[in-house]
Amino acid sequence: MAKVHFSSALSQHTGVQEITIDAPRVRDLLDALARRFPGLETQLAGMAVAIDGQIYNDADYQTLQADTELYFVPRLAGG
Amino acid sequence: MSERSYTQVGTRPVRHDGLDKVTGRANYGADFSLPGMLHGALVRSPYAHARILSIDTSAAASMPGVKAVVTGKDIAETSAKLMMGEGAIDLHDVGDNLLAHGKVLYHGHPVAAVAATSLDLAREAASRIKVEYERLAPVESVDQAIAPGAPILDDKLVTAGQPSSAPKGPTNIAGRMELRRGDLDRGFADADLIVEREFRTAATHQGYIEPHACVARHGQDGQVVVWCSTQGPFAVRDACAGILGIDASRIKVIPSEIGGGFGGKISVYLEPVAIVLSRKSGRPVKMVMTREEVFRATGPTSATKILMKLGAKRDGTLVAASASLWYEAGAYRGSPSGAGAMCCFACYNIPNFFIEAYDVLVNKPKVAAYRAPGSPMVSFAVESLLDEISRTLGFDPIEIRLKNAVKEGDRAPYGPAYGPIGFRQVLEAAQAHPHWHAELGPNEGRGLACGFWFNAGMNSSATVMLNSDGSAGVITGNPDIGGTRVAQALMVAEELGIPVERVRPTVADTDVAGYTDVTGGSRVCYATGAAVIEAARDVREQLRARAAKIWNVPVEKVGWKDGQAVPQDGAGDQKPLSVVDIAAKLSHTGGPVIGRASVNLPMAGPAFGLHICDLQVDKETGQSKVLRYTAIQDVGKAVHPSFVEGQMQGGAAQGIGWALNEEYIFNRDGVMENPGFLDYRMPVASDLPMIDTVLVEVPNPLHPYGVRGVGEVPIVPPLAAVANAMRDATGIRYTELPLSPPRVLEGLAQSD
Repeated sequence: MAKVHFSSALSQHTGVQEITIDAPRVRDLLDALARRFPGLETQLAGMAVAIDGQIYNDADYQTLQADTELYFVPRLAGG
Repeated sequence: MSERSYTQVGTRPVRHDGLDKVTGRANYGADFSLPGMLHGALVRSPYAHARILSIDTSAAASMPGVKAVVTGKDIAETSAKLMMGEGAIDLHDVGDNLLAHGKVLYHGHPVAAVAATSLDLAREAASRIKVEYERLAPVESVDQAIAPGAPILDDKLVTAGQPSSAPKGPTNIAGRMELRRGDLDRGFADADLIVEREFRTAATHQGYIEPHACVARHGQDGQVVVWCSTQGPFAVRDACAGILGIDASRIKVIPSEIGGGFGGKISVYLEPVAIVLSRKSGRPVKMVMTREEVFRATGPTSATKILMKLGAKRDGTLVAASASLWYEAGAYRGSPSGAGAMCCFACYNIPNFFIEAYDVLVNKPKVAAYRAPGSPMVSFAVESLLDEISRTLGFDPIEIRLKNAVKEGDRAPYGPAYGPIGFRQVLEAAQAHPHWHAELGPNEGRGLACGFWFNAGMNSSATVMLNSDGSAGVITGNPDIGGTRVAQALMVAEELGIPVERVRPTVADTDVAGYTDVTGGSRVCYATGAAVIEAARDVREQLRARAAKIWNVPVEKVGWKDGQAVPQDGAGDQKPLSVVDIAAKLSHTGGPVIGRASVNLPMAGPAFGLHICDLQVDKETGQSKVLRYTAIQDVGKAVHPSFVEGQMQGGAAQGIGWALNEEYIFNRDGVMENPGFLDYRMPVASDLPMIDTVLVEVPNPLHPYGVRGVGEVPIVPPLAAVANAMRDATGIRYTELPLSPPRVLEGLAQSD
């Protein structure tokens, strides 16, 4: 079960600060979140995903382990 | 990561492109020409905010020698978005910034363009284009933008990311985000000392020496070629394709050498306009900005207003923090306020905090990325307050930072736990540095500050080709800004065991290189470097197979050691084969050997820096001089230490300029009054001492050698390091930058 943490801004859409979801990959997790929290998908569109501390801009097919910790963060590049 | 020894990595060979660059032989954007080429000129808005009522191009179009005239109508408004870097780039806004469609949103906003047989003629024709405007009141600051009844730049703007309960309606606030942890009220209630200030920083320009320049040729067959100075040829290609509705396969972008970018040469300003002019005229079109145009119409970084509060226990432990960040976006959404929020308290463990960040439209040029976008401004605030706390509580500035410094396993303010990071090692290196213990003279002060940046990953590709004489070539798609060619050559040399001088690195165009994201985000040595290493290892594996063929043994019986194929597991007593030996037999063993790799890497893992600044202040004139400066940084692994040091020195120099002199000065009509290097004062070599550097190497586990990314962190600490030195020298806490002589004098006068 991956543990998903929501920022304070995102938790205004979810009503919770964290949730555990059983999903094999990030894409499956996003689909599950969209079903559970209608409208959240719009907020998450284009965000990067931190998986156990590593931040991926494009994470859809990253696999999730049983104890994975996951955050959504703004995409960043730099100058 | 286990310690590994290197034969090439960590050495300091002469860069392959060095001689061309120091002798003036290298070709930059404006150096390129084609037979029959036309010259383009832009018509720019004389107002900071106005509605376009009409554009009459007839007089210009009828001039002999004028071959094409275009306006916003020639670039259809698009809803396309381009995924790149900081999320989806709104190509509608980029297109509207190229040639305004309904309104002009800043002084210098292009409204029309001309292509003619000479530059003088193009400029003359541009001056004959009549534009009728309805002037509107300009919005020139965050305070004006959010005031009740403020003029609205974009009637359709909706604040992104705001709390769902927030009021809707016309606004100039393009975005809001927040981060929080713990119980803020309780945190401040537990604090023994609370310091709170409002900070302001001015808009500053990236200040690249080379202006924007391009040549575009739109063929009758619809094939487009663009020669330009850019940090990202693929970004230019895809932006042009999206804005103009052209298939990406029909556009080839050939990057020139680049005379600086620092984030400001990622967006397109000229290229799509030049393509449209070329399409309309049937001839190649060259466009080169003047320095004034660069200042007036290309991205500076955000001016900011930051309200920050820190609470600490008597023992120096930080217990609470709050920050309200207001970043000017310029004419379109997209300031780095979100990055500012994420960087804000990233250096320290603070159990209770609240950060809100706003992206605010104003009638100024759209901001662009600038080295660690968003981070230097918040570092100015937090490091100034920390200096205040250490003074009040009687702590050594390094000691209090060590007490609160993040380490591996601690949580970043944006959530995830840090992997291996070197902030504490950086602080300890500063503690041991002689600069920190040196005596100061009269009217001199010393300041110290720290900084944080993420370091990007993203997409990169590389191709490594082995030649029959055992030399090699490496091709990537990243324009070389900071010595990346030689770094990539070092990586190939390291993997293949050949001298770096025998590796030829090439920056290729978009038809030759595999897709590669921009040269930016401190990512090239990390992400493109990882692709280069993988491609070189691909070559090495193929060489093992060729050696197996030569020895007539299974490939499993061929090992690789010290740059040679060696027999193993009973392959007999074959004499090891060097790369040169195997290369000589390529044609007999299967033909050419080409290695390739493409990667999309996660962010590299953050880097931390610390700068120490000694400042001498003339209290009669307000002028200050940097006497001594030391930059210390966790760089992961320095592939070519000279260029790592160069990045740190360059970032420090730009940050010192930001701190001491650089600022956009606007009049009440929103017109920039200092659009030239005489009045926009960047530091030159004679302004600065030799900037000392200390490389701390805590390897990044995501890269084969531990590379972490270097180029952006160095611009983060200088703002506060200089301001803290000014505080030490004058006793005055300045909270607004730049610390130019008039501002310093004003502070001194008020303190008397």
